[in-house]
Amino acid sequence: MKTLAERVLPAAGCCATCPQRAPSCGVMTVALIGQPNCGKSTIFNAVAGYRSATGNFAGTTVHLAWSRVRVNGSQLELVDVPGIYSLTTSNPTEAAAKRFLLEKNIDVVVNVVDAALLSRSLELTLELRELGIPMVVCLNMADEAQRKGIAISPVKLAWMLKLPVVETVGYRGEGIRELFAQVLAQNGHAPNGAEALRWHRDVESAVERIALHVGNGNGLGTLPKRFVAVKLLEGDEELAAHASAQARSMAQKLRELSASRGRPADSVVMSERHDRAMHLFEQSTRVGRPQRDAREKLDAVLTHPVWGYAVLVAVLGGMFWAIFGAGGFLEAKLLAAFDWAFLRMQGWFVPGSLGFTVMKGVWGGIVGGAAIVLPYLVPFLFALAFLEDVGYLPRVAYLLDGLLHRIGLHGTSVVPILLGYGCSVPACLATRVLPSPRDRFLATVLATLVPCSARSTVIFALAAFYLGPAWALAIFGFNAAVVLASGWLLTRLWPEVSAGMILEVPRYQWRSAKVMARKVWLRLREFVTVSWPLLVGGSVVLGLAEHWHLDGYVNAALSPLMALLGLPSAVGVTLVFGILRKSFRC
Amino acid sequence: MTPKQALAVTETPEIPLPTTHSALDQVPAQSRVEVVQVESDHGARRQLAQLGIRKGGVLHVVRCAPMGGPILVEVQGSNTVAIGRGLARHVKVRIL
Repeated sequence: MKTLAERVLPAAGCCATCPQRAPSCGVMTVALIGQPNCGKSTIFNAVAGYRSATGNFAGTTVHLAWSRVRVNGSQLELVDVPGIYSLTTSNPTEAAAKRFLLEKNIDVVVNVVDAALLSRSLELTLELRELGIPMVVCLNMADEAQRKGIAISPVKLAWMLKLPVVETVGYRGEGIRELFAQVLAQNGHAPNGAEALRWHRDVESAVERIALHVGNGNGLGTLPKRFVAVKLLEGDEELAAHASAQARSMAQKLRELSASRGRPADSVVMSERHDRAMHLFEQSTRVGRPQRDAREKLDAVLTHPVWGYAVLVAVLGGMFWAIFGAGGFLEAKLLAAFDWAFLRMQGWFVPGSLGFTVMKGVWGGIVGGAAIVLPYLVPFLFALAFLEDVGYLPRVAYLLDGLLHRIGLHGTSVVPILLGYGCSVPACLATRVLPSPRDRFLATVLATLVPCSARSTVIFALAAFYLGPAWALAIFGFNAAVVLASGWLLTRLWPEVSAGMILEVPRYQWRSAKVMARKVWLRLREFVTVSWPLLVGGSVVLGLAEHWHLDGYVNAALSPLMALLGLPSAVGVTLVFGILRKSFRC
Repeated sequence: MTPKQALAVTETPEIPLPTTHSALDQVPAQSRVEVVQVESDHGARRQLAQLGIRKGGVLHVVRCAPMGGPILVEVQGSNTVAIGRGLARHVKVRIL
């Protein structure tokens, strides 16, 4: 990594405003594109620092992440694009990725390929190639391919594809420098001349017949004619809306002809691409014996009809006890230390003075963050990062699909709902990988009902600390029952059975503690930089309100509401702060 | 529309299958099968094809989840995929 950092350094001042600046920046734009879970975000982070959360399930990245980076002295705008299986999309995340690819001026495409899934991934490579954008193929997870017994010849693959191919191991930073050297070299060189990649003559002639009509005053910008023609043949409605009437009617005629022969045109195109990809795969690789490892045996247990559920309960229960154990221990120690320090500091101020009130408020806020929130939040975020990175979440989705079907959802919704335990915002964003609007709506509603890490911290720090862990567990159990009941109720209001789950179950991966720590920090930063200062400020305001005896008025004003909620009037001020906290956190 | 009707997927105008072929949800665990036909609508068919579940694809059926849960299959040249039972019914296979 050190040698990498010397040459590939993030430029200062790059931020979330880049998408607005990008078109006028004048620097080259490089997009990382590939199938879901092939490691695009890992490559992005290897160059840009940890700015895009990684995980081991399809659809970790649901929005574009931008970063201005400096490579070998040249600045470039690097974009991490959500994963797509092909340029025919099936959910909003994929659709957004495709729009980005077709509408923005991208100088070089880095097609990230999971080398262990080469034959499947090459179908997207062939499709991207048609776009005529300069392109580099990045054979990521080269170590995984070796383990699976797949020996790839990058030279042969590059020769056949007429594209540069670079092997990388993203999480170790291997091959990244060569990759970006190729990116710089490819700028301005569109892929050309791979006649060997052409399809069967009858399909090619159909494509050509449509392509003849494509050029006539279409609103498709600079897209290559062949690409548009193929998409029309496949029945891509988005592109068809912009294409010329002649091209549309020609495509329609050919599609009908194909369907009447018993093979829908989109199937024909897909199998052509599949054939070419298989041909490339067979010519450029040698498949040997895979190295057996413990991961295969692990799945036999983790997806077992009995042991799978036992492990699920044990993992979630174990996580709970570990967080409570670590948090409770640290909380007690830290509170004792802060109390000791407070007693020392008390002597410097006159008790009851304004200075004393302000000091007490600031101190209270600092202690609240450091001794009550962080001891629970940090272990919690570590546990969540571990479950995400190792690839356990899709297994949970598999186990719970049957149960969730009873409430009209399918297992894929488990991932956003579980992410809701971290923070509601990414959880709601994660629903974008669900195909139907109804499923997205239901999963979003349910994800917001799950206690996020800030709320969980309160449950851990207060309920578990004062009432005992069993009560805290009971609160989580009750919440799960509320979520299930709400789901059941909502599906009665919107009765429609989801089409059925199609979920890729990824290989297990072990990530270093360093990678997890960076991810934890990415999420923790929000608390430290936004919520904590507000906590300190709020604590001071609360102290001042007490100092000037204003809290009595607030409590009196809120007492009718408190009576309605069945709460003592003294908690009025606390509740106002609770609402404030809720609106700035999560 | 009742839930049952909503589940019914439009069939593609392909040649009817000989009865020797079975649906993926009827196949015993640990069997190796070849996909003969995917009879689902074009969206799901494409999604399955992208993961390697397409005519001619070879699958290893690992197991089925209880409570009517999904079927776990290892796809040759691809990853393991969990397919909902309702959808698996429309994937016709031949046991190898």
